[in-house]
Amino acid sequence: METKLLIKGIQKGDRQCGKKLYEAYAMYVLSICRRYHVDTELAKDYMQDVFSKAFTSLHTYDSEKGEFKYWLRRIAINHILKKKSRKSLLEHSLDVDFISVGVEPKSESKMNVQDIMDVLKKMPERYAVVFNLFVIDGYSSKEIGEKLSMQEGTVRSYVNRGRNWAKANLKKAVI
Amino acid sequence: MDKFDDKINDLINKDINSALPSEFQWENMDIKMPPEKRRFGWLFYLIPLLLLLVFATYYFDSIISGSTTLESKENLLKKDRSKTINKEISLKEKENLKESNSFTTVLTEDSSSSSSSSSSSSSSSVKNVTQKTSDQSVVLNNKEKVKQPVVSNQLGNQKIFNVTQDEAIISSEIKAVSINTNQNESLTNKVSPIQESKLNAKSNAYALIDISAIETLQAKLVNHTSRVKPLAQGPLYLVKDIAPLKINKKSFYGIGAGTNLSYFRNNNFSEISDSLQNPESAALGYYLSLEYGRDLNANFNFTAGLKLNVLHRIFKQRQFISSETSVESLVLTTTDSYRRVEWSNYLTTVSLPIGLNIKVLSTLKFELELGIGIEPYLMTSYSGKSLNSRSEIIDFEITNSAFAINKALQLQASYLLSQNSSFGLRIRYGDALKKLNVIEEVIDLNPRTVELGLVYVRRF
Repeated sequence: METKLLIKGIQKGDRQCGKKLYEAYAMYVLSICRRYHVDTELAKDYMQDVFSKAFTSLHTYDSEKGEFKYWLRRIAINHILKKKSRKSLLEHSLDVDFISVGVEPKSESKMNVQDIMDVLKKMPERYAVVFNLFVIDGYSSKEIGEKLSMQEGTVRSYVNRGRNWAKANLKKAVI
Repeated sequence: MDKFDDKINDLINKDINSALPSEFQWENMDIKMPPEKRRFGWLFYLIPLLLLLVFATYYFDSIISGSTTLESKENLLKKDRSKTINKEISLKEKENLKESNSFTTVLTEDSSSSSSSSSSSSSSSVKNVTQKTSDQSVVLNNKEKVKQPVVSNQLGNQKIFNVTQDEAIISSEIKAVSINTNQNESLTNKVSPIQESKLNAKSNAYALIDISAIETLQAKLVNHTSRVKPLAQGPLYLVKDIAPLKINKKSFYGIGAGTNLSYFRNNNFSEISDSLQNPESAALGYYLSLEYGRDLNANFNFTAGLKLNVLHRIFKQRQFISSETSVESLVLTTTDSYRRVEWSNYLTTVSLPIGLNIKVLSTLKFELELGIGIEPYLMTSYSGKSLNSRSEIIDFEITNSAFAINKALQLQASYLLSQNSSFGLRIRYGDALKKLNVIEEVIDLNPRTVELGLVYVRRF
């Protein structure tokens, strides 16, 4: 069923439509949680919060402004960042630019999602968050700076370090 | 973004199709759904409110009309009293007429019986039209027998004539009292010669009554009449001079327009501000209003109306233009250039302001009113320009209507152009009373607003 119809159904309080929309996007939201270092147990709570918030705010979603997926992603990221303390994003000071975390280098063709997820999971949280926001979720360094209360220069530095860290641990040949 | 970032993005997006772990299945989740939408749910709040207002209006109206009833009762009383006075006047006239008739009769009788004896002339003084029969002498004899102890010894026959005459008048007076008390007009208006004769016949019995007692009764009658007069005039005076013209025109309508300034509470880090990318600030908007009002009494009135509000918001954007990098004495310097862009966005609402106002100051030409009220409103649209996540300028428009209620405080200074029209300056503050359709953390539909405008009021 088309997303628009499901949205209309949810707005009328139809739980079946809610179920279908949830099943269509649950994995996507879960992957976001994983990328942002959310534990499996916490991820369940976060997903409940994110979908509850999305379902009760559906009337503000404008399909002309973008896909539902990206609207949902924005809610999820905002929720995760709200829950993450500023301290947890800044407490690591170890320079990890070239520290290997034991991921076996693979050729570009053999590299899969799980490898990336493993790397992101092992990446220090502050880099992982900034790297996710910038590289995967498309936020600008200015937006990230505003969200995380960081200077734009610091954001760019974190992105570079995270990228180098990921490259070093995935496959040098890809770069 | 380089090749590595593209590769990561591609792979991550493919991850969506993998199976959802069992603990994340819908059945194991507790996700809030929006409540079933009641299409006209707001009517459940509005209708009782309007009923309450209508009831309050009728209640106050009945108080006002209650005082009017009193006035009308006074008027009725006044009319009754006037009627009584008129009756008294007519009675007096009748009595005078009757008196003159009696005298005429007496004179006639006297002249006709001048040749007869003094006793027969005296008896003929009480003779009536109906007593021209054979038993006249019997009646007269009886009369003489009755009257003698009272008058004959003191005044003689002539005196008997006078007393009898007085008794006839007094009997009429007594009749007048009874008429005044019972307000039975027919008794006085239908004084036929037959009744008159009966009255005269009865005067025999009245002859036994002490005249002083009758005089006391007369005095009471006079007192009663003199007491009635000022009461009858009082309400007339009040109705004429005190009842103001405004009481007759209790309803009025008002047309208003002005400017407003709004403040939204939560505009930071909310979904809407994220999607719109910018913090917003207030700017001057405008409103147009049409209202109907009704005086509850001299100091209170209530108003209900329809208002169109256009709230103006400005979204500010610090837009990146370019970045220049230069190397000066082996130091790499980067200079970023920005420009400031402002977008005007408009939030339109239609509201039903309902208020209760009290006059705190009132002079011949100036009135100051303080009012409180509620303002249920419907957000009809929210539109404008903004930027998307890629910093592109986009148009946005939220057309989903949402309902909420504001409470309001209002101060109005009016200059009375005439008795029926006035021109005023109004300042009004509105704040959220109850959010009935909350969009959680997305948009605040209960902005605080301050309005400043002009209003023209006309009574009808």
